Amino acid sequence: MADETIILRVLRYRPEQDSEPTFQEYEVPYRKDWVVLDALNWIKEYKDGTLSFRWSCRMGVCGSCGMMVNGRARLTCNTFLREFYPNPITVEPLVNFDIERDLVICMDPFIEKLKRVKPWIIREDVKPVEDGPYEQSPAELYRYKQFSMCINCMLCYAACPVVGLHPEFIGPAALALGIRYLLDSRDQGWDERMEEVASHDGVWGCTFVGECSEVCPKHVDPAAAIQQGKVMATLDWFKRLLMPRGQR
Amino acid sequence: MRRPYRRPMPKTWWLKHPHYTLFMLRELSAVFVIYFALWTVCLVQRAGQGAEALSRFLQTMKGPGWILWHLIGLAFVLLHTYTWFATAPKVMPVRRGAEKVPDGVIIAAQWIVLLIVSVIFVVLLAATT
Amino acid sequence: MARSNEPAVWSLFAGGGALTALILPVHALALTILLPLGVIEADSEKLVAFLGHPLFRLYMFVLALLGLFHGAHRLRFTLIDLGLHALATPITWLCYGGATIGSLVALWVAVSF
Repeated sequence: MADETIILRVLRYRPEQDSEPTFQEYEVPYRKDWVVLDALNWIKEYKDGTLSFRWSCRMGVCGSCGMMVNGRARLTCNTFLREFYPNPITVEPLVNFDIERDLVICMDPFIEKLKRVKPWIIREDVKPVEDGPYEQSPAELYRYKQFSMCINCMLCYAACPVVGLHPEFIGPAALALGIRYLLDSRDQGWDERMEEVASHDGVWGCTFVGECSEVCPKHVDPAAAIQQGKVMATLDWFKRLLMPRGQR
Repeated sequence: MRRPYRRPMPKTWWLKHPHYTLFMLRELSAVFVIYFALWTVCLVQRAGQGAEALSRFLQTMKGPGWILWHLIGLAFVLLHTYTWFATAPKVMPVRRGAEKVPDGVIIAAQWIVLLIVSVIFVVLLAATT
Repeated sequence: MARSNEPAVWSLFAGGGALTALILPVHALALTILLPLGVIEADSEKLVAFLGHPLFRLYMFVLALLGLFHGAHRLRFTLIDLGLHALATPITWLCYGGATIGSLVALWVAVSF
């Protein structure tokens, strides 16, 4: 049993020497309780210290270790080798992102998109701290709670063909977060947030493939958030059309 | 040294996973929605020309090629219905206080409405003609 | 970024999607398959009266309007996503323009019966 091994085909890209990415095969010990991230760490420890990849918590919370495992966007810390054994496993960096090095993607565009939806509570009247918190009932909380569980792992961006086809699309996680704040009873930033969420790059870029929700490790269901965002944006559009400014 | 590498998106992306292919088929159902809408306009137009013109039109539609084409169209329309009903609870979730009405209940309710509407449609057609 | 005017067509798309999902299965089965095959027997004169009834003509027009805009909307995105990104603007005009013309034809057929 202890001698069993499994092949990992890992996409390598070293910008200082490679003109384009190439696959490299590693033979790794097979353990029933190992995840893909364990195998990658074993490679780095014992075979090839130059292999680069992001990881941190090892328990599906930090959202750092997202990669393409056999073509699917997965967190490598909760994807077990036994799911594929004895077949080889192909590991690539998340698609729809540029490759920085090996399995590390360039996440700058995602961070810029996150900023666009202003993911914080916007208040017209800010209460002093001593006046206590902004109160919210459980029913108000449940309107958006699911959409607030995102860990920014970007699996949904790798799963979304629209992100690949139209890089300017704000994308599932950031839009779900924007809609989470639109649904928050404490928020007063509706108008300025809608400028981005209801823009051409916002919810209207989505064609509802729905794969973002399939790959989401936290069951955020960004596809649902975006469709609800379309309904909200549509009602808002008709309201603006029918009611003159100032009476809204 | 930074030299980010951009991977091209293959034109055949929608063949890479069954979910993407199913999505493409769902979108393709639009062709048959358009077709059946236009076919219905033709049907009424022929009816406007009188009973004889209408009979000739329906006689043509009896051809096996037309029937097969319409059966394929029906399959795509059913795919449209199935996917539309399945996604409705995501687009318009129904809440009772803090509780969300289960998706299955909303989906089942839509199929029941479809059944009622279908029976009314057939009864009206059969009873008046 | 400015808000999009997409709601104008999306509301037609959504309305058309809901209407066709509900009615088109029985509509296609009964009218395009069972009626020509004679499974649903219909007297020609009575059928003319049924199809010419103001309510059926109204239904035909609404089905055409919403169905065509629903289809045009999906077709637009599908064509663009199949690699015609460069032609996005003409495709958009062609799809909604076609749906508008089709709806006008349907209106004319409904009114001139």
